[in-house]
Order: sequence, then structure tokens, then C-alpha cells
Amino acid sequence: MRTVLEPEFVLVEIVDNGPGVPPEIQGKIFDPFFTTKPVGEGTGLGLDIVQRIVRTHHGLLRLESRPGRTAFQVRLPRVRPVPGASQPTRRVELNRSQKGLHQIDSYARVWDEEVPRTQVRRTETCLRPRANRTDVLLELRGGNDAVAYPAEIAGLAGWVSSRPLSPATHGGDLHYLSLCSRGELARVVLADVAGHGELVSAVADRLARGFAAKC
Amino acid sequence: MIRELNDAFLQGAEGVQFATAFVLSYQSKLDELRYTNAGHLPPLWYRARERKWALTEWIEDEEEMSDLPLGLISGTPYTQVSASLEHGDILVLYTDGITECRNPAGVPLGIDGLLELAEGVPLGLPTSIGPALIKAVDDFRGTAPSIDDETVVVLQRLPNSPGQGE
Repeated sequence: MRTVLEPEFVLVEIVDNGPGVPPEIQGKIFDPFFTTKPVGEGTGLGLDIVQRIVRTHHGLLRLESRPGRTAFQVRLPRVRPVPGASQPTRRVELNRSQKGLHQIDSYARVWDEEVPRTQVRRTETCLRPRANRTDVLLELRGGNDAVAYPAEIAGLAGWVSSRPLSPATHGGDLHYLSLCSRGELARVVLADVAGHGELVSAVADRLARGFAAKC
Repeated sequence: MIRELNDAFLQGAEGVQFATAFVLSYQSKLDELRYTNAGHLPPLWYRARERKWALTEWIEDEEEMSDLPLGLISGTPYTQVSASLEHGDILVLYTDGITECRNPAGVPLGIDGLLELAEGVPLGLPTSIGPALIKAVDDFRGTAPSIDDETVVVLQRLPNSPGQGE
């Protein structure tokens, strides 16, 4: 490893003398979920995460590789600390006129209003109706079991198919659909959980509890 | 909410390492879609007005729309994006088992491949689009085995949403 002070950047270079990264995959190694390891052994997220962190610091990440010399170069910009400056926050610039989207503040507390008792207006399929709750009108979730079903929530027509690999030794997919706020609010979560397959349901439970509390 | 989930993962009370997640809310009365992408693959979005499939990431030219997965770094900020769903718009959420499935020659489907499959699926309700997309993925895979969990969630704004115009 070596470090170099450049005019605008600090360079941190990590080098090894191994066989190198094959040219055909050099363009993919920073992609999320790309891995050359067997299923269950690699997440494919390591370099993706490194790249995100470096980008967050407005830095550059580069790979130079040939047999016998492979170098990952991390360049971080040289900046003077600004007294009293707050921590950098992620900023998203969206072109509203062209794209019709806008960013809102993170963690907006917009669904904390009280929800009166009401009934489910329409459910085509209900895996786990929330009989003992009045705020969450409908809850559909799946983790370890193969399911395929339609659902209609809050003006959205939906269809879900989940086919877990069996046995689930490396985690699993979970999905969660809920309807609350007088039938006007749909929540949908699709997650890929790393860990033991048995834990996926536990995570789904926690997810449901968290959403129900805010419903 | 997402930040709390991230912290819950980090506590490791249930031994979970991390998770990627796409979380969305849709309020029918306001016709407002809000979503956060914690390291998950970008959903496909069919824009009915433009009659075109694209990734949710198309809304930005340069920056990534995906934040870090849950359970990696405490205090990670997550970005919530708000958008309007138009009648006929379709969202397809999926997990990496879909895009990493390989054909008998070992070629992975990839996100662009999934986009191409979606473009070939006849438009309709999610109950027809979803199974057709799954079949297209299965056809691509052919005799090759599944190597990961595969989940697809298809959502479409209904023409006459409950709560609309009340």
C-alpha cells in the first residue's frame, strides 16, 4: 500500500502481485451483487459499497490490473475543514420539468395521523389478515414459502411471485404489502436478507411491527 | 423508518447481517408514490404516457438512486423520493435472483435483459404481466437451475383508484 499527495487529491493505492482481475470482468466488479464466489459465499457488494463511500466523499475509485500487478486506487479530494460545517448530507438533484419527480426530506413524518376504525374494502387474496388490528387493514407477506398471488391495495393492482431457493441457507427474499390509513395508504417492501433463511420471517415481523406503529 | 430498520439490523439481535430493501408507499388520495432504495436493484417502471419501460434510475443522469443496504453503517442517511404514478404506469420490483439467473450457456440475464423481457410482455394488469414476465425469465433460463431466491412484485395504478375523487 502506498499513499501519494497529489495537487487535488490524496491517493491511496493498494497493490498486489496476484494473477489480476480478468479483463472481461473488470467492467463489472464494481456492480452491485457481482461476485465470482459460489452462491452463498460472496455478497457481491464489497466493491459496490467501497465505490459508494468513495463517491460520497467526492472521490474517485480506479482499478488497474494485469497479471502480476493489480492496483486499486482511491483518490479523495483535499479539502480544508470548514469550522462549524455540518456533516455532508446526500443531495439529489432532479430535473422536475422533465421528469416530474422531486425529492422530499428524508424521514418525513407524514403518516402519523390518527386512523379511525374501518374495514378492508376489497382484498382478493389475504395471506395474513390482521384480525386484531384496526390500523393495518391488510397485511400480506412472504419469506420462506413459495407464493404467487394478486393483491389490490390503495388503488394499486399488484401481483407477487416469490420462489425461495430450498434450502434457504444464505438468507432469503421477503416481501411485505400492507394497507392502512382508511384504505388509502399502501406500503410495499421487497428485501433480500443475508443471514439464515429462518431469520427472514423474523425480519418480516420486525418490518411489520415497525410499519404498523407508524400506520 | 428506514433509518430505524438500519439501526435494528446493526444491533444484530436476530443475527442478520444485512439486507437490501426497496420500500415504497403509495397514497391513493394524493396519488403520491414515495420510495427509498437501500442498496436494492432498481425497479422497472413502465411510463404509460411514453409507452416505454425504463429503470427508476432514469430519473437521474449521474447520481445513483440507491442508498446503502441496511445493516452496514450506523446512521446511514436514506433518501426518499416522491413521484406521481400515472394511470397505467407499472412498477416491477425484483430481487437479484431474477437478474442473476443464467441461461444454459451460462449467460446471466442482467438488468438490461430483464428490461428487454419486460418490453416483450403484453401490457395488461399485473395479474397478466407478472406471470408472463416470470414465464419469460423461465424461458430464458431454460434447463439451467435456479441459483437464488426469485421474487417479483408488479404494481400498477388502477384507472379508478379507491379514494379518488371523494
